[in-house]
Amino acid sequence: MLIDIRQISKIYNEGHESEVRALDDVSLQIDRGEFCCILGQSGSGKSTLMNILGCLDIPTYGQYFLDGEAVSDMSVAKLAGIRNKQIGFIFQGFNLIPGLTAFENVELPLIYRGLHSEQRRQLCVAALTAVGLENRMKHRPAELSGGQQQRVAIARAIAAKPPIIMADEPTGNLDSHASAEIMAMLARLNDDGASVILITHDRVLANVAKRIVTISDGRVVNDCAVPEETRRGVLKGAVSA
Amino acid sequence: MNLFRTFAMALKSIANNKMRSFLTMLGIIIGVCSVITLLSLVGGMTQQQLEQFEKMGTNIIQIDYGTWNGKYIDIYKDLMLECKKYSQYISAATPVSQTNVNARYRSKKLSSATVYFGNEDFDICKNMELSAGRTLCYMDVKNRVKVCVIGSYVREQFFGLENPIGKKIKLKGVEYTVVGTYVSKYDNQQYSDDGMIVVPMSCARSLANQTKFTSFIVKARSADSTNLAMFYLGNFMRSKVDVKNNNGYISVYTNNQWQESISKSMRIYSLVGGGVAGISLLVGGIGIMNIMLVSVTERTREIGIRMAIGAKRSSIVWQFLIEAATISACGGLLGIGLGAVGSYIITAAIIKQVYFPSFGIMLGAMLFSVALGIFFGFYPANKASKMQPVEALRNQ
Repeated sequence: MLIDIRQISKIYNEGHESEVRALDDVSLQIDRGEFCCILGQSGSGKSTLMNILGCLDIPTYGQYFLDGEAVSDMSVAKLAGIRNKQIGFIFQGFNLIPGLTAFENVELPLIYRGLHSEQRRQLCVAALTAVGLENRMKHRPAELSGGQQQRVAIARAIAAKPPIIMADEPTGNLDSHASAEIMAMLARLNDDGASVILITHDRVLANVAKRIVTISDGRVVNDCAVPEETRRGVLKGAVSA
Repeated sequence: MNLFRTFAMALKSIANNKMRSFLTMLGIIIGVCSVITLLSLVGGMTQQQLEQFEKMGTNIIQIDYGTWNGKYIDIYKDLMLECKKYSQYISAATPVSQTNVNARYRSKKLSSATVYFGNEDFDICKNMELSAGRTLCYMDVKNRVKVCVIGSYVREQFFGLENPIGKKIKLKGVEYTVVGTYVSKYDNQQYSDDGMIVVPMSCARSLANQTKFTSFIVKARSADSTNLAMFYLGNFMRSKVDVKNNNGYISVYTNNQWQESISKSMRIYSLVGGGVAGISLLVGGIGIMNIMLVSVTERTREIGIRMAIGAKRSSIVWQFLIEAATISACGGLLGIGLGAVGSYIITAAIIKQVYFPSFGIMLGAMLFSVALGIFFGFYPANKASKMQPVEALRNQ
């Protein structure tokens, strides 16, 4: 089991009148190599779930085991190490650093990992080539289109070949053509062996995943597999779009 | 993450915000520049004062003695031997006494010219420099040779453009051969050292009917050795003159006390000036802290991104610390450059003598500004590192 969360709750302002239960007693297991979509409306708690799964936030209650290790007990430094080595993030707003070029943005997690410059260069070039941006390495985010920026973000997420890719509304800021490209890319990454967790509110796009976990009001309300035909259909449609 | 990469990142971040970085540096630039300029000015003034003292003769020890019973104790030879004994501290010694006589050269006359009696060390002890010819020598003194060395005023009065060397002047009717002339020290004033005629001490008897020398000038090798020389000479004088039983008096003193008081007041100026300039450096440091705090706020999202992709707290602290230190170091370097120019202009304008800050001052200013950057950068850096990644990422 890659990800195992047990009865996790995230409560803001607990005990106050303004108490908000973003997640309420959620349990979820995700296996290695899965392509899992967490589907939910705005405010349903899906982003909170992703933040916890991605070790960006800690739950108020419950336990989280990542690859058998209890994340809840980890130090801040160890969590940073997990984010660096185990997880590749793709965000809705791309989250690239504006002052750095595409190459430097992709290089950043590798620097934090402590790799040598030649090793970093090879991994960056490979990742940027994989997303088709080998000719845009020296461009800054402002000089790239939205789709290209998200591809840089994907390159950054996959450069160090982490076992988990987490994508939070990766197509939220993109047109349909660019969205389709990104979705196809995520599917390819999963085919190559990465576990992909996709967070979206889009019911159609959710069908790209192999499994859909639906969240509403901080609770898991549905957990189902996506028939392979539906997946293929959506992917085909996405690619043709 | 290694320091070199962090440093490169800091440079990049500074380059990305040129105007803001420059404005941040401005406080440090002005602070370092004013520290350096002020210290140079005070340093230049001190040096100039000391040079003026040098002209008057530094490390000079004046010895006077006498007895109350009118009995003359001749200490000349013993004193010279004593000075030789402590030659690691003492470079020269001469008796010094003077008389006023009428001097003549052909038809030209100088009434009441100042004649000094001295030995071969006279010019060293009086800090006189030769402009032509030679000084008195041991043989002149030993053999009572009637020679003299004249000051620039006497030379001008008697000889004008003529070469005085080898010419004979009359002192109290007796001929003395001019063997040397001194460089002017006091704008050719008659009643200064420029108006003197120096003859061998052995001629004192014939010229002034004087055989006793109770005043001496001793020159120490350096300011440091002056005190030691004074100590030994004091002991020597006490062994010769019975001061204990109040049969006589001795006086051994130096004008270095003046120098010390000048150096002391200059040190106070340095401290006050440096303190005032230091305050502006401090203000510059606070400016750095302000801007770094703004920078942390502005770059909250960037910090969030960096944390999300694996930056540890220490990496974030180092990044902001190195950024602050780099900004202040750049400010320090620019301040040193401007300070050197400022020193040049101000010292040239105020003390008419260019004086540059010492390497030590520049290094100190540089290190101080880096330390300021680190000190004032720590709070914002620490603040940045304490952010929760998810909170930081939410920041727009």
